[in-house]
Amino acid sequence: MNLQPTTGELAWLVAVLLMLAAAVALRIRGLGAVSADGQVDPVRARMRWTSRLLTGLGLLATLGLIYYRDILTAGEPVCPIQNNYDSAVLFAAMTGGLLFYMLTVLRRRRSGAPRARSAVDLILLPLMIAATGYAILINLHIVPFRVYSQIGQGMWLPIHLASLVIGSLMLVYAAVAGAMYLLVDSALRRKRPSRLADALPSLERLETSMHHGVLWGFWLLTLAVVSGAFLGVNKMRFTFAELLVSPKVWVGTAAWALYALVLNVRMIPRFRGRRAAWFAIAGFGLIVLAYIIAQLLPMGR
Amino acid sequence: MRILLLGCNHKTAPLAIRERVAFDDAKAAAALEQLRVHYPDSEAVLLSTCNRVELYLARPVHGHPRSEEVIDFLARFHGVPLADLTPLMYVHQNRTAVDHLLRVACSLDSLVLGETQILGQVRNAFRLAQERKTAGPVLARLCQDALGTGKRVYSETTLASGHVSVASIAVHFARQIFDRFSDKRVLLVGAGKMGEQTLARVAELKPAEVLVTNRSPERAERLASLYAGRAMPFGRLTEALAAADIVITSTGSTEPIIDHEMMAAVCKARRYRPIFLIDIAVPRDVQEAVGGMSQVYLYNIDDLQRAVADNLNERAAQIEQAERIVTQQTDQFMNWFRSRAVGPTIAALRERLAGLGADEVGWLLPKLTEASPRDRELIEQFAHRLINKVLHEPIQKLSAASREPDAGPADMYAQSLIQLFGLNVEGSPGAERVEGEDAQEKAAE
Repeated sequence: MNLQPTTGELAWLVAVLLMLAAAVALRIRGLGAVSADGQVDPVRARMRWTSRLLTGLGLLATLGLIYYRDILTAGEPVCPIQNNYDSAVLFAAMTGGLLFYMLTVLRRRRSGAPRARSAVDLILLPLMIAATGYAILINLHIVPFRVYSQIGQGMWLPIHLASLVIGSLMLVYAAVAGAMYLLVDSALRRKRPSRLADALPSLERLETSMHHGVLWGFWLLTLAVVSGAFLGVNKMRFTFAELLVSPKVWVGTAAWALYALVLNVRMIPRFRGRRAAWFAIAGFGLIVLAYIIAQLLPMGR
Repeated sequence: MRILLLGCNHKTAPLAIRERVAFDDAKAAAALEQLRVHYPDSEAVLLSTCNRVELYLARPVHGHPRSEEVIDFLARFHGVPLADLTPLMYVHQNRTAVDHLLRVACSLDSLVLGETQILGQVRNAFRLAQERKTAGPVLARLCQDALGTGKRVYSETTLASGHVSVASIAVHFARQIFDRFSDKRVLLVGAGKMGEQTLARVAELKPAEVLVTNRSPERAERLASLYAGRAMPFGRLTEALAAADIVITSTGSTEPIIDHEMMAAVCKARRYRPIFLIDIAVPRDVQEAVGGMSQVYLYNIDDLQRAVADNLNERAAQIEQAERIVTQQTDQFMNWFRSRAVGPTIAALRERLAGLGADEVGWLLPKLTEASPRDRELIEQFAHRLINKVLHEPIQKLSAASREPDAGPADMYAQSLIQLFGLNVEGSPGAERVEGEDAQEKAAE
């Protein structure tokens, strides 16, 4: 099976990357297109909508690439989660989907005057760009995932992979909400009007979003850890000793434990607010670390 | 026609005079009616707001009312001594009057820069003048241009963005902390005027409950009843703080009434849910250290005023762009106004030369007894063509000059033509210069 992307596929991704970079540049210039009291700056509004259009096109192009590699590759279908290149492209696409979800959901207000809250893209677009850039760079070092190639078909593998991918995305959601919480909080502590804070949701909504992200992410991650352990021991014939010395298992478990803490800090009043936001970001950092270890260290895989 | 503006505003007249010469809709309608009856050839629009009373007129150059007659009319209408009113009034005409109205519509002449209410007030003044049939073609076009300019400035600049009052900026920050207010409680500590005003603004968020606590229970009861809220004894301040999410403090206390220790207990009691403290008292009611506590957002009057100043500075940075738009729009209006004014001069000039041509042909033809009908026809054509060729250049130049932003050349050409050819033209810019009243009105301005 040839997993290496063609030159055309890579050029496609480079075009996506440029589109997203242009979207970020336009978005920064279009910040504050709608002020908190509803005044619209038409020039900035045009930049904002052009940025959205480019983001949408970038997302569609990424999904198109996945579809092409998965379905249309003649004779050799490629699953988007069987190697590091395709999973990075999938992650970029899912981040784009999450971005559009957050733009829709977080802008809704339950009471008070309508306000534009749309700087979510400034936080999520860089993640999408990072994932796309990573996919371009990693093509020199395509690594098939062992778990996929060795186990073959069965119920546990889809459960493990689906819970891992969707759980990770939920944790990205929580970390992004956490980062936005810190931005709004620091703007409020500076006690000055801030265009960025005006364009973000309220602290109350961000805290709720953070909590929901961690809640869903944690339970899906738990399912991923349990199903992963089951696959490792029963299908891949790892011994417990091997699992215990695996850095991937260590970092993954640390992230899981941190999220267990984050989930509960909402119930510990002293750990609300900024602390919970930092925990959500740190947990996401550990997930990324576990992924890097899984990619780079032979033992991690 | 000449456009005249007579008025007084917050810069020229004290409130005591402004409130005496202010017009409500009924009075404005009556005043416009009187103007229409006394000066049927003139147009009038009356703009009256809390900060200004301005009467815009368009009248024939030789006509009435003159500026002193308008001031006299306003003084008599309101029963204000003429001597009190005259020194407070400003008089502008033509371009300066147009420029003034366009600046007013964009709030560039307002007490609070960027306030959009003025646009509605200009619209209302125009509507009233249309209803009373005192807005003719000149002032109707001027008002429409003023409204268009206001809209353009508000859409192309951020002149009206940001909050510029302490109460509204407090609400702005509250919205950054809380997402919904239907489950939040607002507490007012003390019952000072500033506190009441801020509470009124915060109450617009429709909180679940308004609590009021004050050393004087009667005052607390009275204020609470205004918002269907609940008065609490001042002695139960800690309990009230624990229940509230937004707290406005505005007592006359010389010492802080909320200190770090009290707030630590309050935060614990409210399980560290966020709390927004708006301390607008001077001296401050809340100890500064409270602002450093987790989940506590403390803003004192200085913080809020600084934020207001930031927004005002942001607006001020837009003035240049707004002025540019106003100048463009004023030029555009004046081009229309001048081209409307040079039209009669051109028509009069054509008529004059055509008359001369006809006289000369009439003198020549009877003397050419042997001329055939074809020859006579050619002579008539010759006279016509000669007149057209002579007129072509000056008319072109006059039309082109009337489209220029600088009114000088158009005025000069028109005046020269009127003087040189002895034209009788009503309303041309050139004709205006002939009038001695110009000097008087300019002196008044």
